[in-house]
Formats: sequence, structure tokens, C-alpha cells
Amino acid sequence: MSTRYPKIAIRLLLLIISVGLSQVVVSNSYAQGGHGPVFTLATPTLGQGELSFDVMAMSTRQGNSAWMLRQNWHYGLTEDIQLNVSVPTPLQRIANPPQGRLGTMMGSYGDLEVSGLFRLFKTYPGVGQRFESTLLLSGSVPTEDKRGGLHVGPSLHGGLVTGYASRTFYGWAGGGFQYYTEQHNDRLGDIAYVTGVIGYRPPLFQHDYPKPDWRIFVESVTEWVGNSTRNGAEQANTGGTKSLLGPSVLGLYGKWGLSGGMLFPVYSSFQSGQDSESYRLNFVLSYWF
Amino acid sequence: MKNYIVLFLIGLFLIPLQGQAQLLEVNQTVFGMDCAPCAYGLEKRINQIAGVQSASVSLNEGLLTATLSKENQLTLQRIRKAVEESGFKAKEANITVTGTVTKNESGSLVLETGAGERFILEAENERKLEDISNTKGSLTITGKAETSDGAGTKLWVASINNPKA
Repeated sequence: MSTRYPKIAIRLLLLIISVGLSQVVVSNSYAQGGHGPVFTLATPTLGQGELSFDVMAMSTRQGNSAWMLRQNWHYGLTEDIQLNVSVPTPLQRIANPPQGRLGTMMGSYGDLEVSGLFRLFKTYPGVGQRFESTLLLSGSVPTEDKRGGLHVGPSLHGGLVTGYASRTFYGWAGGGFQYYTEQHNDRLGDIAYVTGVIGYRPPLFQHDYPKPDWRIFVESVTEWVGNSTRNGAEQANTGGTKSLLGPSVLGLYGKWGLSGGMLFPVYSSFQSGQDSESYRLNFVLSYWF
Repeated sequence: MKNYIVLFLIGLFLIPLQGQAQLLEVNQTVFGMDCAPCAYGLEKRINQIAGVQSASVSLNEGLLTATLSKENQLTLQRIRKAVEESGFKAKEANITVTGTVTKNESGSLVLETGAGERFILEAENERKLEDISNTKGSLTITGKAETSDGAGTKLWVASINNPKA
């Protein structure tokens, strides 16, 4: 194992701690939002005037491992409209990162994304129960000139998710599409995807607030990545379909949230010359102001 | 000058009298709240409303409990609006409220608080409504407030705390 890994882990830990501590000092507002699964689309939006922040450590492996931090800010414009900014901080880049939305709610590898969540439908069948549908629209700009040897341009993304949440069971299903613009005659392949997640809160963790609240999820993501274009010519060895599946866990305690999960490929049709993705790993520390 | 001082003193006496006709306690049922940050956000939002002495939230029961200051100008509608702003649905509430009783155009008894909020009084036992209509001055009622339908909030009387009749 390379000696870089301990250094990266230490940098990661220090960044998470420093950001977390800074948020403790300035805390003075509301809460809620972003309390769903780690990788897949989910419906919750923040309440009106509420603000939350999370820092996310992400890794994926395609040949070599890539590590990235994401800092995500969320603000509830109304109880049904949430605005988000997601800023990536690559810790260890790889030459040919996997095409895909590593976390569907916060942009692709290396993209700075501004997004809006619009809750289109909601109904509340009972105590602790919600059935709702949410539209996600976003625009991204890349933080690097080239990705996988191709010039990378801004992109537009739209997603739709619907689902149910209760104090015991959770389930969301959704899908989306990301369109990349052309940059210097190159263009990354578009991404279409569907996601599904089911969650469960075991009786052991069904204590009342303010005691800690834990839940477990099984998440799945399937992505169809289109062929990329280089100098105006479509690249035959790019694009394909992949499905990933894996567990995640979310712990909530008052205004703090901690979650983590890992997805593993269960299907890949990517053509030769391009490594398949070995895993996706995410850890998230969240704070609600 | 003397007159102004007298008026000022009368005004000081009037303020607490006004404050007595008000909401005292609210146990608001909340639908759609499923997580700890949801509860934290709602609790914080309610605690920041002027006139709220303390608020707590039970996730498992879907219940917001708010004890209000001795003198406040809060309305149940204001608390329910805060619940909706948090992204949840405010359903019926068990409340304790002090106010003065009048009759509206259709002959129904209406309890009006110092903040101007009006509750249309209902009771399964007609005797309770008779007791209330015979009461002079303000009285304190505990009961279940339905969700408002625009025509006013119905308050199902469970107990009358200090009838003077």
C-alpha cells in the first residue's frame, strides 16, 4: 500500500474535524434535510429558512483509488423548495475517473454543482409518515480542464424521485439525466440513471427524540453512460452500463448526522480499454443549524 | 401631567388583564415528521417564537408540546403555521386557552382570546355549553382544537377550568 494513503486519511480527518468544529461555533438557526440515503435520490427538503451543511468523503476505484471531499450547503427557501451548493475538493485524482454521479444528489466527480429541489407532491398518512415526490434540477461546472484526457464542459442535470418515509420503513425510487456540453470539440458522455433504496429502523433504535436515531439502507444505482466525443469523433471504447448495490447506515443525533456506505458493482458492460469501477465509498458528516 | 400619570398607571393595569385571555398550553399533533433533525428543527423553530416558554417534540408520538409564557399574544394558527413551515402537517391539537365567550350570528358560542383568535365551541354534552353560556367574564377551557376549515377553528370542550356561573 502506498504511503500516500495514511497522509490522505489524516488530511481527511483534520478537514472533517475542523469544518465540524467551525460549524459548532457559528450554530444559530434551524434544522432538517439531507437525512436520507448516501448514494441514491431521496425526497426530503429542509423547512423554510433552515440551513444545513455536510462534508462528504468519497472514494472510488478504477484502476487506482480516487479520494475527494465534498462540502454541501443546503438552504430551505420554502418548505418545498431547497437550494444546494456542492463544492468538490479532490484529494487524490486519477487520470480516468469513472463517469457517473458518485452521489446522485450532489454532482459528478470533480463538478461544482448548484441545484434546486422542488417538492411537487406530499401527503401525510399518519404520525411519522410521508409520501412525497421531488424534482431535482442542477447545473455543474467542472473544477478541472480535462477528465480522462478529454476537455470537460459544464453540464445540466434533472432528476425525479418519489418515495415513502416512516419511523420504521423507508423507500425511494428515482431517476435522472445529466447532459454535458461540448468543450474544445470534446464532450463527455451523457449519464442516465435510476436509483432505488429501501431502509429500515430496527426496534432497537426506535427510541424517541432526543435519543440517537439509526437506520440502515440497501441502495442501488444503475447508470447508462453515453460515448464520449474527442475532437468531434465519438469514442468507441467509452460508455456502457453499470449497476451497483450496497449497504449504508445513517445515524442522527439532534442536529448531527453521520452516515456511510459502500456500493459494489453487480453488472458492468463497459467496453475493453476502460477499467470497471471497483467500488464507491462515502462517509458524510452533517450538521443542521 | 397628573392625568398622564393616571392614564399610564391605568394602562399598566390593563396590560396583564389583556394577557390573561390567551393560549396557555398546546399539544399539537404533527404528521410527516420522521427523523431527529426534523424534531430538532421544529423544536428550535417553536422555541424561537415570542411567547413560547418551552417546547419539546416527541417523534414517536408525533407530538409538539408548547408551554406558553404567562403573558403572550400567540395564536394556535401561528404555531400551526410554524409546523407547516418546517415541512409537516399540523393536525388536531389539545389546548388550554383562556378567553371571553360571545355568540356569533348563527348562535354558536365563540371563545375569543386576547390575540383575537376565535374558537367555535362544541361539546358532546350540551350541558357544558349551557354552563359556558351562563358564564360572565373570562374562562379557561381545555379541549381538542380541530384543523381550521376557514370558517373558524372548532374547539371540542373537554373541561371548563374556572366557570363563574
